[in-house]
Amino acid sequence: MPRIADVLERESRTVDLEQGDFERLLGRRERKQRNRRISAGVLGVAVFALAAIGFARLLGSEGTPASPPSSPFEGTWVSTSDADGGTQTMIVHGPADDAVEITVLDDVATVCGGAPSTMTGTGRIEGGTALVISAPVYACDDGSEPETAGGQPLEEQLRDWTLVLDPQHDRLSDGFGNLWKRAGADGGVPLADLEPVWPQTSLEEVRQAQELADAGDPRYTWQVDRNLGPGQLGQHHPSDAQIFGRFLKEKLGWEDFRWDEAAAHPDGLDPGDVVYIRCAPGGTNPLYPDDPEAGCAPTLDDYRYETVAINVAQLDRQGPAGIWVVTGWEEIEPFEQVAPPSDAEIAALLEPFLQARIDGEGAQGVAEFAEYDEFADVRVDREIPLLYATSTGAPYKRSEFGIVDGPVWPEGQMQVVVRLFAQNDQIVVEQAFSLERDETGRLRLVYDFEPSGPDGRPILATTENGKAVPVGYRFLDGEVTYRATSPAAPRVGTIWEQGPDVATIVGTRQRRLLLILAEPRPIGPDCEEGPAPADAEALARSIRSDSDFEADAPVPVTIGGIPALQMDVVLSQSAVACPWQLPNMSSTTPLLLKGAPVDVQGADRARLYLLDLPGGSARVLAIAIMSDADSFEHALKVAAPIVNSIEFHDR
Amino acid sequence: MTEPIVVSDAALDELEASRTFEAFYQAEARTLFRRLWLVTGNRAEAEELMQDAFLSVWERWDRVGGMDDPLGYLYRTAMNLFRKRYRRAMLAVRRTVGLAPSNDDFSDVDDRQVVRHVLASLPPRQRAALVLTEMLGFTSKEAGDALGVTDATIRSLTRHGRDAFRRVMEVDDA
Repeated sequence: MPRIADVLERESRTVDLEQGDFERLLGRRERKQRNRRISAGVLGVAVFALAAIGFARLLGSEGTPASPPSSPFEGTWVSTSDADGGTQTMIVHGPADDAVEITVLDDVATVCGGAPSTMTGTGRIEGGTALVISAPVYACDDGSEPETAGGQPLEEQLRDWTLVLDPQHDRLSDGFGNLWKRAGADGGVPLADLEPVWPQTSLEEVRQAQELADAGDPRYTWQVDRNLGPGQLGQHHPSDAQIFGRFLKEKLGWEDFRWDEAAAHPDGLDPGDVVYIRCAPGGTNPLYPDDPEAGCAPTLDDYRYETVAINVAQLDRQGPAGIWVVTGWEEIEPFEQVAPPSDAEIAALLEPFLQARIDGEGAQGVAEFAEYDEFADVRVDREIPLLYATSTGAPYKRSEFGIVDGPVWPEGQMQVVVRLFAQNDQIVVEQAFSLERDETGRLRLVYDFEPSGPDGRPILATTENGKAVPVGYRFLDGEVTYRATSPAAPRVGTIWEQGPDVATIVGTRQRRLLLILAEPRPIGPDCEEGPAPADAEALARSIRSDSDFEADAPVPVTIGGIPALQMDVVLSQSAVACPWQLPNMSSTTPLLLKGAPVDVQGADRARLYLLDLPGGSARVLAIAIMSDADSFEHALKVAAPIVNSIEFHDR
Repeated sequence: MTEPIVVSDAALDELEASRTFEAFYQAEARTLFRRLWLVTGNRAEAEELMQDAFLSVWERWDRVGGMDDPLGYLYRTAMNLFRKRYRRAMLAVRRTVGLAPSNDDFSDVDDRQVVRHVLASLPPRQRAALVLTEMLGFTSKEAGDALGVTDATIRSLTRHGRDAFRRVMEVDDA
C-alpha cells in the first residue's frame, strides 16, 4: 500500500506553475521596490547587515580590516535595508579636526527606481560624537532623477544629515532610523573570546559536559541540537532548541514567553542573538481580547514586554554533535505592541471623511494609498473611485461604516468597510479601507486598489450595488487605455509583459482573456519573426496565408473610434508546432510573434482585432481574445466591455 | 600521502552560481508551489504565497544564500505566511460566521478523485501539518514553529489527517 507521503507527492504533481513564473516574481519585486515610500526608503529603514557579516565570520571568511581611524568616524560602515533588500556602504575619510568626506553607496535605491545610487558630502565633527553633513548630494547612478513620493524635496530631507556615534558599541545612527556598523569588524565576538554563562560557566565545564553528552548522559545530551546551526542563528530563529527555553525558564524564571517574527528583528541586533518576549503568566492581552494569537500579555505595562536577546554558541565542538551553551544575554529595548484604534479614533477619522463625500468636497487626500500597488504603473485612476457620487453621478445622501477585521496583534491594523447610499438607498457604494498607525502613532486611512480580505484573499476594493467597479488601465505609455472589472486586470509580470510598449495580457490570475500586442510580427517559415507588416491589412493577409490557421476574411469594425479589422482564427488540423527554446515552454503553434510567441496553446480559437495606431506612426496594434472553442462565445462576451472601453490618446 | 584537494576557480564560480537566488528559485519553486497547493487547495493562493516567500528570501539573500539550509528558511517563511493568512481567516470567520469565501480547488472535486476528496475533507491546518511532517520531514516541533502551534497540536493534526487517509484509502503510512 502506498505511503501517505507518496500519495500526496503524486497528487501534487497534478498541478504545475504556469509558464513565466519567474518573470512574474521579477515584476512583483520590481514593483514592490519602486512603490515603497521615501519615508521608508531614502536611506533604508532597518539595518540588518550584521547577520550576513556575522555568518560570514562563522564560515571563516575574514572581513576587511579597517585602517587605523584618525577620527572615530573614519572607515567603512555598512547598513542594509530590509525595506528594499539593498545594501548601503558608507566610506568616511578625514581627520577629526578638519573636513570629513563621506560617500554612501546604495546598490538598490528606492528613490532611483531600484537603481544604485551614490551620495557624497563633506561634513564636520561636532562635540566628538556627531558628524554633520550639511548638504549631501544624492544621485542615481543610472542618471535618472531621484523621485520622492511626496513631502519635502530630497535635498531638504537630507540637509544637515547627522550621524551620531555610539562610542561604546562603535555604531552610528542617523535621522532615518538607520544603524551603521563597521564593515568587517562587527561580526560578533570571536569564538575564542566567548565565555559560557549557562548552564556551564567555564570552558572546562563545557569540555566535560561535551564528553558526557558524547557518552549519552541525558543531563547534557539535551544541549546537543542538530537542528540548531549558524544558519538558524543568522535568521534569529530558535526552532526547537531547548537551550533557549530552558534558559528562559530555569535561569530567568520566565513561565511563558514567545519568539515572534515581529519582535525578533529589532535594530541593532548582534549576529546570533535570539530575541524572546515574556508573556504574563496566564494573562490575557487586554488590548487584543478578540485575537487568539495575541494571547501573550505584556509584562511591563499595557504595551511593553520584557525582551531579552540571548546569544548561544558551541564552545567546545562545532557541528551537529556539539553542545550549545548560552554565552550572553541582555535585556534589550522592550518590544511594544501597538494600541488598537479606539472607537472614538475611528469615528473621528471616518465620520468627517464620509460627511465630506456626502457634501461633495473636502474628501480628497484624506485617505492615503497603499504603499504596494501591483498595478501602479498601468493604472489610470489615481483617486478613490466614486469619491463624491455613484457611477451615474448620483450624490450620496448618507453613509455608514463597520469593522470587518482586526485589530490584529501586534500592530493593531483594522479593516473597515464604508457604505455610501444614494437615490433613496437604491444605490450602495461599498469600499474597503485599512486603518493603520504610522511611526508617530497617527491613525491613517488607507485605500488599496487591490485589497485582501480578512482571510488574505483578494477582495473588491469598490463595489456598486455589489458589482465591481471598472478600473482604468493604460498601455503603450498611455497611448491606449481601457477599463477592466475585477477580477479581470492586467496580468503584470508575465513573460509577455516585456515592457509597457510591447504587450499586455488582461485576464484573471488563472486565465488570460485578452491580449494586446504592439507591432506584432507574423511567423516566418522557420518559426522566426517575420518582417514588420506595413499595416494591419498586410498583417491580416499574412495570417490568412498561414496554412497553420483557418482564418475568416477580415471584417471592418471600429475600436475606440479607429477603423480595425476583425477576424476569427482557428488552428488547422495540419498545424505545425514550433520548438521554443524558452524555459518551461513546450512546442506550440504561434499566431503572432513579439519576442515570444502569441500562441494558441490551450486556446484553439481566437478573435483578432488588427488596427493601425493613430498618429501616423505606422505601428500596428493587435488585440486578441483567445479561448477554447467551447468557451469562445463566453470569452467574447466577457471581453466585450474591455474591448469597447479601449480609447486612443495623443502622446 | 594524500594530495590536497585543489578547488579550481571554475569550480568555485560554479558553486557560487549555484548559490544565486535565481538558481535557488529555479530549483525549488515548482516543489514549493506544489506543497503549498496541497496546503491551500488553491493554485492562485499557492503561487501568491510562493512568490511572497521567495521575495522575502530574496530581500535577505545575502544572509539566506549563505545559510546551510536556505530551503528550511524558505519553507518556514512560506508556512509563516500561510499561518498569518489562516489566522486572519479564522478571525474573520468568527466575526462573520458563514461568510468565509471558498474558492478551494478541492471544494468541488469529483468523488472519483479520491485523494482530492480526502484533502478537501481536511481543514487547512491539518493539510499543512501533513505536508510538513509527511512530505518535508519536519519534526512536530519544527512544524509547530512553522505553523505557530505547539508540537502536541501538530501531532494531533497529523494524526487526524492520517486517519482520514487511512479510512478512505486504506493507505499505510508506516
